[in-house]
Amino acid sequence: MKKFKNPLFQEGVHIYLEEGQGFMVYFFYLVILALLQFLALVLPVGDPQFWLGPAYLFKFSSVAALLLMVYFGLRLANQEFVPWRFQPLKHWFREEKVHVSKMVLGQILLLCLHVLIFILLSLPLLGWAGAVARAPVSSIMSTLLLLFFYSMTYGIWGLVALALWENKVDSRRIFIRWLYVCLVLLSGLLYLPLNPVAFLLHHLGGLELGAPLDLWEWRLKAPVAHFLFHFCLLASSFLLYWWALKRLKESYS
Amino acid sequence: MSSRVSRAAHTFSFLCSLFLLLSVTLVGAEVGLDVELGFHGVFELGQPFPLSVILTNSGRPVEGIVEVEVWKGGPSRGVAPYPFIYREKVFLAAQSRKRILLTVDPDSMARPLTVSFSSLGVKASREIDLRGHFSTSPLILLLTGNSGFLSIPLVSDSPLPVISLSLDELPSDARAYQGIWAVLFYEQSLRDLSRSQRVALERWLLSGGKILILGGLHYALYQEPSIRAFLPVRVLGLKKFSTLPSLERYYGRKDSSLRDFLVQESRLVEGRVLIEEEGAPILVEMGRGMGKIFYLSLDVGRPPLSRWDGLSLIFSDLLGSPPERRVGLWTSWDDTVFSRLLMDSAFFSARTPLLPFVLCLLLYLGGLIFLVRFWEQKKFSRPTLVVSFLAFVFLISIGGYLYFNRVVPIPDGVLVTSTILEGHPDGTAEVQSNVGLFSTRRRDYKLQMVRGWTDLEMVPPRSAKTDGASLVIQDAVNSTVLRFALREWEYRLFRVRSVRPFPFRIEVERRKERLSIRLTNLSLKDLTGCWLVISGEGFYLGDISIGTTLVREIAISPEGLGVDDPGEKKGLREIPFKDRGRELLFHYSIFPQDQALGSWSEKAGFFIGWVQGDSRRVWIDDGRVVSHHYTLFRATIPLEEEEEL
Repeated sequence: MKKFKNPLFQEGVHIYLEEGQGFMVYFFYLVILALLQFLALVLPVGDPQFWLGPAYLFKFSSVAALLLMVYFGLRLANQEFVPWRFQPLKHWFREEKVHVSKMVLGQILLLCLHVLIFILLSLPLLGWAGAVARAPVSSIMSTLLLLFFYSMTYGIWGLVALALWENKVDSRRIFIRWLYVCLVLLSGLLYLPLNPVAFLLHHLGGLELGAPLDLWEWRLKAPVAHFLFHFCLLASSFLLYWWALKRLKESYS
Repeated sequence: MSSRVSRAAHTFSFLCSLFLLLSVTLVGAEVGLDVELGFHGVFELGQPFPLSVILTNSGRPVEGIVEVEVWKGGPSRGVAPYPFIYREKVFLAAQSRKRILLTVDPDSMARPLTVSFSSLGVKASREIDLRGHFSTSPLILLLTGNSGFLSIPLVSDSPLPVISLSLDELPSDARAYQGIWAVLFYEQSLRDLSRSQRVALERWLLSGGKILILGGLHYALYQEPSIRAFLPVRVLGLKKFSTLPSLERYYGRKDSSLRDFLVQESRLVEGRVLIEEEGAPILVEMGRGMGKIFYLSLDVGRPPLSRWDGLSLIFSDLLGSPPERRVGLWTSWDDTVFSRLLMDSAFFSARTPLLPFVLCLLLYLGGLIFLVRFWEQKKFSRPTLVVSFLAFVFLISIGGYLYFNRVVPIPDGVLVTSTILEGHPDGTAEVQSNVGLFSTRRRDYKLQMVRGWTDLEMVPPRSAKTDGASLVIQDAVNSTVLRFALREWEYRLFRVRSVRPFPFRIEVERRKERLSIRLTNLSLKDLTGCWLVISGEGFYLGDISIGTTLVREIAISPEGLGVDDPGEKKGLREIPFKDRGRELLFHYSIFPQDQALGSWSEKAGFFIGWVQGDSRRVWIDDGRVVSHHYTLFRATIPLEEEEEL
């Protein structure tokens, strides 16, 4: 069997997994999620609706996992952890003569690996929360799929930031945080179905998404509008990322 | 030759039979649908009314489902509108006609009532606009076998709808009578009254209905055993009177010309005579549960009485004011009460499995730390550790899921019914069952209710979770089945009302400084944990078994009431019960601590006791649903004014 060879992917696997530099990120993610679940079970003790606590455990855990996964995914893609350990893009273009498509593939695969590890780590916690809340297995599985989709959709923007402002670390950091706040947290204020948290809650049966979107002559149902927006977001981030890398390559050559 | 002819004849007859058979099976069923609404198209607004669905099949036999969809809820009820579907399974023979009788109770007149019949390949439906059919006042039903026109003169500001019905049109469901003011019988034979019609009529009477039996010249009709059950007198024949001064004293006018007429001669059996003439009862009143039966021995359909001015006054007096609408027994039954009940382990044992959850979390984190240590120490090969990690994650996920889903004993649902029987001196009791069904799973439920209920109401939820969810109601052999779906951690609250016999006698006697109260349990159930509450103070009575009498003496002194053992005396709010469920229901639903006691706060004295082993009135036949049934009997103690302490 031909071994998969991608220098950027291999570099990421070496740093994050073989050296164990990514373990701290995964540990943070897991501990925060576990702590939130614990608090969700303990804090409403004094509430008259305490007996309904388990009902919300899965929804609460899923939303927490989504927010954490997107946040850490963006930061990992943006190489915010141990940035000095990574070769600059200049190196890959000039010395290694790596093609843009190979770079794109390598970095997206690395992001994909991170997201999969996050999902694997949260699988027991979400599975137990689903069992306590009596959520059907289909709901748990579809939630995991949604988590993967959102983490990838938003995570690629971390790669975009890296390609656009590789040497401006602060600009990158500000950009991804601004992006996170605007798209993941505040987008619901503009139109609720755009927000991933709102859609996840709607999917789990706790929130009405509201009226359909009237766009010129088209009337889009709220879930359609949600996925259309996210596919546009994914496609635009991918194209922008490709374009930024191409521009970078041209400037180095 | 002859054999050839006979063979041809046989073949021909075989083909003919085959063709006929095929034509019968190939012709599909054609079902026509007709609907008769209310009483000749009229019903009282806001009250249940009868509905007849007439199905005509002009094709092959067909089996299908008749559904009547009405809309309940809406802003006036404080709950989002939801469809309420009455369902009935029917079989229609070939070329047949069938009448389905239902009692429907829509809350909204703005939305049409939809009647549909559906079967495999056969569909028929009809929408009926209810707006042109309702009356704002209750109806008066007149049943007469007399072919002549009987006019009922009434003194009223607005014309009251008097509907003349034939006996077979009389509903056989007590609920259909709720929009009825009174039922009048005039020279009507009740020989053809069906058992179900009789039961419905009696139930309606018990719950406050009014029947007027008007005398007629055909007195033999009043001697039939079927009508005798409703008559307070025994009709003997006819008697001629030249004048009726006792009647004219009440209803006559100065220029009255009531002379020489025939009156039914009768003998009192039950009830009391209101007007009599020369020892013959003219007007008799008889109580039946909360209802009343009046018997007027005069023939109001024939001259001279039919032209008499005083007749309208008699009818006005007998009919009285429109029947009071039952508001239901006073209890608190809402989200707050139900939440409080479910918070208690007496009702719902599945609490948040906090300890196992935390232990699982620690086990998981510990396992991961262990694997990371192995990874860093390079004790095992990387692929081995990756496979171990994957196996650990999947195993702990599946194991934990199975543990929390199966091992932790969480039932599919929890059903709580709190039934309150409010006793009346006539031996009947108003029954209100407060029902709450909570589901931990997304599934369909089949709630069954004993037939004979008069009112079913969904309690408005605090959240609008019930939007779009429908309730389907279907009559079974001995019960009414209510079908609905619940999502996980969702619940529905209902109130079901009815009237049932529950004889319990309370006699009070004041002897100088002591009050003697004599309680006799004539019902078929034991009463346990009984208390007497007088002027806000509770006195423990213990149990009162079937057929036993308990006499209690309470000392009255200027310092207040007293019993021999001061430990037996408690404030209403402090009354304890051995059963945790009873205590919670008593203090939070039946007599809530944080609210006024409604009309019960005005009552100087009342009796309460738990009904032991009461037959269930609302239930679910499903082992995965945990049920809790409680029944409390309460009755007012008839204290005289000077005894109200």
